[in-house]
Amino acid sequence: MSTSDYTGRKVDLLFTDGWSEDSKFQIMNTLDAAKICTGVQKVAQTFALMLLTEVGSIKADPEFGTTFINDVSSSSKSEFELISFFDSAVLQMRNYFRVNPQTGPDDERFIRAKILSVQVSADSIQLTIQVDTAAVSRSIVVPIGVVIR
Amino acid sequence: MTFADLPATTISDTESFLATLISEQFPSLDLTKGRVLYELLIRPAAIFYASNQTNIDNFKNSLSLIAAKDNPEAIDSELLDLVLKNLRIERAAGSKSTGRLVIVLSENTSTVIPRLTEFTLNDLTFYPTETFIGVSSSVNVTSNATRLITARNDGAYTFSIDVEAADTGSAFNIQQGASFISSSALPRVISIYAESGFSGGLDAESNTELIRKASSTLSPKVACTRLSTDSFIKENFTSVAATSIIGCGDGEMLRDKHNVFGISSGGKADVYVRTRGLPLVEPIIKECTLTNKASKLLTCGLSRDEAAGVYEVRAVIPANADLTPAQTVGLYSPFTGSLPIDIAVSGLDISIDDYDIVPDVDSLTEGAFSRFQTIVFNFTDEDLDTTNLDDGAVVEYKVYVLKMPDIAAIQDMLLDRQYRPCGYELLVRAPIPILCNLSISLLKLNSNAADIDTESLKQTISDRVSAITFQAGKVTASIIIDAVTTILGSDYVIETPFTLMGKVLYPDGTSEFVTSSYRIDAPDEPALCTTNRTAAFYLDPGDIDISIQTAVNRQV
Repeated sequence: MSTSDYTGRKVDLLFTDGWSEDSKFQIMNTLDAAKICTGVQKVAQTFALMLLTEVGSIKADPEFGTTFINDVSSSSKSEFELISFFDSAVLQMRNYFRVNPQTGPDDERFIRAKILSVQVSADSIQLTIQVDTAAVSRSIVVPIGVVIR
Repeated sequence: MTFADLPATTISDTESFLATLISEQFPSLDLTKGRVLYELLIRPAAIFYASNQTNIDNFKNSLSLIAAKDNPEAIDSELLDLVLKNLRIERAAGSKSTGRLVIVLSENTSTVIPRLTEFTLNDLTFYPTETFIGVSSSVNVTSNATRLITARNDGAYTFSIDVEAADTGSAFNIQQGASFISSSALPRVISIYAESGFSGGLDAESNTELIRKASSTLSPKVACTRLSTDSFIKENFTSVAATSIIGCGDGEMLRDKHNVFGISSGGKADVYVRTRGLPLVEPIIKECTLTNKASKLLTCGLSRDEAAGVYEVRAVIPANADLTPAQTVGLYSPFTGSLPIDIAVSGLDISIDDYDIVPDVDSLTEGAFSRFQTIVFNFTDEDLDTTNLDDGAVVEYKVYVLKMPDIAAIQDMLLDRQYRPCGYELLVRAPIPILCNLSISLLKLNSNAADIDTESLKQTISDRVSAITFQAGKVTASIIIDAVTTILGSDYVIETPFTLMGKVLYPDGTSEFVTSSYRIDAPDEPALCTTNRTAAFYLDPGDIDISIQTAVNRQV
């Protein structure tokens, strides 16, 4: 296991403490006080924010976000469709970062992401995603509440 | 200012500002796009901050008329009102148009028109001012709400009711003869139309208009300079659209040359007032005198109270008759259905009566269309039963006059000793009328395109021509094309040249026709008091003819 030197790093607000042993986290906030984070955790949070933000919904930055939620809502939620929509969303994120270059050390810059597993239940979809930075990878679990048709 | 009104650039600039500001204080925070701090803190805060800052800027601008001029509609209306009230300038509130509708019945039977009956013309709605009852006998006319049903000479019966617009606005000032439909089926009613032009409808002033008014009305509201006289009139008659004041040294000023040398001596001004976009057609019940029993010739005289601001007598019919809407379309051509009018002569009545001074007016050229105008005309009624009538007998007729309203009231105000200038007198006149007629042809490029609303198109053209200022003094093809272009869209084009005609009614009683395919100018005849400074163009929607052809195109 490698270690990183976080001295002098810029920090972000930690918006979930759903860490698990296998270095995954869930978007499920049980924080009782504000905490901060840095390193790859910031990238994982950014990825989750962008994936779940509808592109065009932020007036001052209409390119921020993806079409993922919209696509999923209007689909049959098959695994094939979900993976296609996800890949399309990742492409949109990479295009965004091409226009708005990322700064900071290697483990704070998003490179790519892929789906590790998909679980479709009655009213939600749970995606386990691997987010890769220029230095390390992190797995995150993203739950999406949807109405299954 | 709502969040939705904020420009995106203002928000993004504010985001950058806040991120920089916070970074300076807390350099260890990662405030780049995509981070939680940026997305969940900076972005929402920026919207709130930008909104506040915009409101503060607007507030500051509201306190300065010079700053407010740059972007008047962004200024908070309530703030602007408060600031201008300090200067005794108030926003003109909109007002509702009122008028009278003629209800045409198939039978002479009592008919109730409930208070909540909707009468509509296109998307304009009117309501009766109270519940009216048309009654068949004058014995039953006991209040304002009971109206006598009279027989028309075509076998139908009519009575009239008073109505008020559902909303404020000048769009409700509809023309005489316009046809209405009712929201509910009214028994025996076969048609409904406007007895005379509706009036009183005013749009509430926008910020832009209010600031423009402030610029002019900051001058004292007295009859003195051109600007202050204009302010004074508009302050007291809010419907006035435009004024033009002719004074010493102007070619059109004839009255101040009443001296042995025939030179301009000052002391007089002519105020031409356009009180509304189009003149009104107003029916008046008049007692007319039978002057020749054998030829059934009658004479009718309109006093200066009745003839003030009148341009012409449009029609005369028996008092119990009515002209149908189809007979009263437009202003350019005479009304059809009128008894033949043999001679109409305008005169002047400058008797002192209730005034302590009257304007010095020598001729009709100097005083036509003013408050001191009178009109006498002869007409023949072949159907008049003269069996029991002798010469000199009096018979009632309905006389339709075309007039610019409020001329008498404005003149009376300016002659009031309290208000009139100490050193000179003012004569108020309706503008010299140029009644226009327009024929245009539209080419439909796509046969599948939706039909165009020609009535709306006519109204738009009419409104644009009515807005031509005294200073401009001409109707041009470009004005008409510009007025219709946005409505036509990409499926229609306007074909040029088109036919534009005008009938100038000179104040000396003569008239002249002008026609052009691209421009009509106001005549430059100062000796007839007729120039661009005194003339106004009137293009009634009923005087606009629009033909539509479909282009034949091969498939590409």
